[in-house]
Amino acid sequence: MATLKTNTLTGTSTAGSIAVTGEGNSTTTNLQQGLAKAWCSMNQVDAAINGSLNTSSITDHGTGNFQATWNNDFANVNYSCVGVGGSNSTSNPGPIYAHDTLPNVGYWKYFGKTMAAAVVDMHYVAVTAHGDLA
Amino acid sequence: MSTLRTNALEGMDAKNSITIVAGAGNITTTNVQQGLCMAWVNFDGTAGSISNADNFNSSGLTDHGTGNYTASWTNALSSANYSVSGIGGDNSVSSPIGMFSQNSTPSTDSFKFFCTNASASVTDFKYVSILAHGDLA
Repeated sequence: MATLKTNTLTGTSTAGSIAVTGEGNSTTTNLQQGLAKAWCSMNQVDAAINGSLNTSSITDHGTGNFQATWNNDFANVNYSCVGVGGSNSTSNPGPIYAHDTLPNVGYWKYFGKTMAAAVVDMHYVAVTAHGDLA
Repeated sequence: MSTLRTNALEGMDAKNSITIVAGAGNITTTNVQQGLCMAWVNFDGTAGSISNADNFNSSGLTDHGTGNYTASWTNALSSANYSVSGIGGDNSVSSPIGMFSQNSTPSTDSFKFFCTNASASVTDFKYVSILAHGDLA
């Protein structure tokens, strides 16, 4: 098996673009586009980050309303951000919702809600963002 | 275009860390390993005996009752602090929205979650998909 050892990957034609052959051995996909550019696992109750990639901080805007701020901004607001939320209490296992119609290049703001649609702080919230870094 | 052929990638200084230029401006970098999805699974939550339709690093599923499942990972994450995302849906227009949540902190080798419909009722969904990002053990 050939193993390439390197610390950095850079596209030759375009620095930010490397093609990778897919599992079907013919179609290619883009390595950079397929990478999550930011993710964050957090506890809203304690307002603490558990683990993260490219996340500089979280901001508590009130009950259930948080913001994850990115270290390196996205190139535009058209990136994809998804997540889940939950609580240690089975009475509060709710989803999370985007706060605004579009994310900000530097952060994503969202609500955590119970199944009864009440805004609430959750013990576990995780968000993941895919898109183009600036 | 130049093509590099290899079967495996490994960091030179740290095996588990490779930097990649990824910004639209061709300057900003990110980390390959940190950006890779470490596990994903898609399954039919309405099946009598649920199983992975397709997956990466998922060893199996557990049905805990209506709309409540556990996805188990073949290779565990290094801590419970990883990030999970997901979505669900159904062929029925009466429950077209699937939202996910979990009822406890994650486990390093599995993730337990609920599916709820637009009426906020826990329900089985025809299409359930989750993915996990974080550090493998």
